[in-house]
Amino acid sequence: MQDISFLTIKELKNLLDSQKISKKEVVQFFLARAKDNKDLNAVIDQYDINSILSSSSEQGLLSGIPGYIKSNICQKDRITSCASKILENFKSTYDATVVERLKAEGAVSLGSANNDEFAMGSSGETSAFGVTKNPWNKELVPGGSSSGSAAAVAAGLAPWALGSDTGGSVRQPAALCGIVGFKPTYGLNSRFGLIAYGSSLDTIGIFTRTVYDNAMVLSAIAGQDEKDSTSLPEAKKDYTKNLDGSIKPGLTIGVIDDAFEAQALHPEIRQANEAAIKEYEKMGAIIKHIRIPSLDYGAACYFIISRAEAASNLARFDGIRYGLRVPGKSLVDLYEATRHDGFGTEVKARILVGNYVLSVGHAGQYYDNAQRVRQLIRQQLAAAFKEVDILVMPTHATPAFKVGEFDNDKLTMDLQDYFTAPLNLAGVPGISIPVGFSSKGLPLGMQLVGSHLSEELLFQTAHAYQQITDWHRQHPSL
Amino acid sequence: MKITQEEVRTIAHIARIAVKEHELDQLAHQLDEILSYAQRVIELAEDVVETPLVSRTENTVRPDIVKNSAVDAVMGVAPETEEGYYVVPKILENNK
Repeated sequence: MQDISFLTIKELKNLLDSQKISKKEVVQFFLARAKDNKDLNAVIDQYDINSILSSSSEQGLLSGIPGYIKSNICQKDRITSCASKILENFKSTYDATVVERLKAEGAVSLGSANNDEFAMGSSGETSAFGVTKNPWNKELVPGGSSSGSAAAVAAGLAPWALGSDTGGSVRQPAALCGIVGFKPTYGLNSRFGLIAYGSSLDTIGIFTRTVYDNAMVLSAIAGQDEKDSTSLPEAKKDYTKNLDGSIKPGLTIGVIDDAFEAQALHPEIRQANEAAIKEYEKMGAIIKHIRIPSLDYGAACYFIISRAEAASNLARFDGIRYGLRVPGKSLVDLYEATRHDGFGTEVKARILVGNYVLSVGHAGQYYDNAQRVRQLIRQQLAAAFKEVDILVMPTHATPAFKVGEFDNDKLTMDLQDYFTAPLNLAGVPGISIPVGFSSKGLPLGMQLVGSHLSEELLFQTAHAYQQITDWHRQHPSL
Repeated sequence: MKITQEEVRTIAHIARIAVKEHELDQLAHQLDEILSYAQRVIELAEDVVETPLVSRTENTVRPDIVKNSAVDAVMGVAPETEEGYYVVPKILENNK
């Protein structure tokens, strides 16, 4: 059988539709490949072939196309651990809406992907089930928090994966692994069945190796859901419709100067981004320079709001209703012991910070001010979109780093969210695309940012770049 | 700023997370680092003209119709249940 590891969804679909290969052969191939690459630790729970084949529709847009789903997204009767000890044995009783829609379109889930515990981290290192390795260099991290999803797609273990993006958890690992990572407008994809971290920031995002494939998966899952009252009144549509390789006539791209001037930005990422912007100029785009002064406050604002919401959301893990229970003499003892043993250090630290910023005497200083800054970021981005169609900035400040590199410098680790979190605060969509490699052969990413519900324009613009470059066609030798 | 071990103890109790003596130092350090950085929002927030933070102004409603709520399945994932109730340690003591 031919090597189908790095085929796109579109290519694989052609093979399946012309019956040159069967759904069963595809699944067998990718299960074998996952087994050969077990050392990446991208997958927490690998499903068996029979249950995989019987759990999705035989028809649809993604019929027979396999992928992985982050372990904080519920799949019925499967372990949904969030890569945490507290949910180690928790089996979901229902499918998340996005999973239900994927199955209805024929897509097959091969397993649950590893991640930072409860999606809290930027490297994959906080997973209770071990760090995921970067397929380009196994001594390095794949980024996070959707570490396993990114590594699986980059390593050719599947052509798509779902992740969640609360502060950059899809876009940053996509950049570090050299693939496409998309975060939708807040509310475009239903959050029903996504185990909540920061509810006003959480989105379900998509990993693929091409922009076209990403638009295909979005076409399957997007649209309003009566089970999520924050989902937007958007109808299901075909997001591949405008992908003819051209850019919108008169497209105006705004380069966020503040981002390119950031001290921590690695020069090779700056250069690769600038070269990509030149390509757009050659295609006829008008390039403008934009200032978003509040960008520099985005990470701090995100730290406060995300931790505050996490403190509230994770209160439900109490040893009573799900997962782990550590016995205690009193009810409070039981709560405290369960949460002590069940949560990892990073999760505990975030819950504590969240309670601190919400507590009497501190809420005014931290939480209220963060809400004001959030509003400012939103306003400044909205003002920018009055002048330009799309904004660009780097996705990440540095290429993939070593496992353990930031063990004693958690703040620098948290600042991985610097370029990505402002989008979550504003609720606008973004896509990270590969735009080159470092001198050490590591992937580099660029982030395209759109206004609310501008997904079609965002995909059209990103797709046009992939028609004249081949960074996305490179893959690690595994 | 400096987060003290005592503050960590208080917050951890509010959060219902037990903290061991040897964990206090690291947590205090980690909290201090992130909260110190986060303070930068204060300088900027002073300049913000207050407007309500809303992304959507209309409420989302749907008809209130009872649907299969799968109570048994949901209760089934709890660590301990009895006759459709969660089992927890005794809350009320027999005192005075």
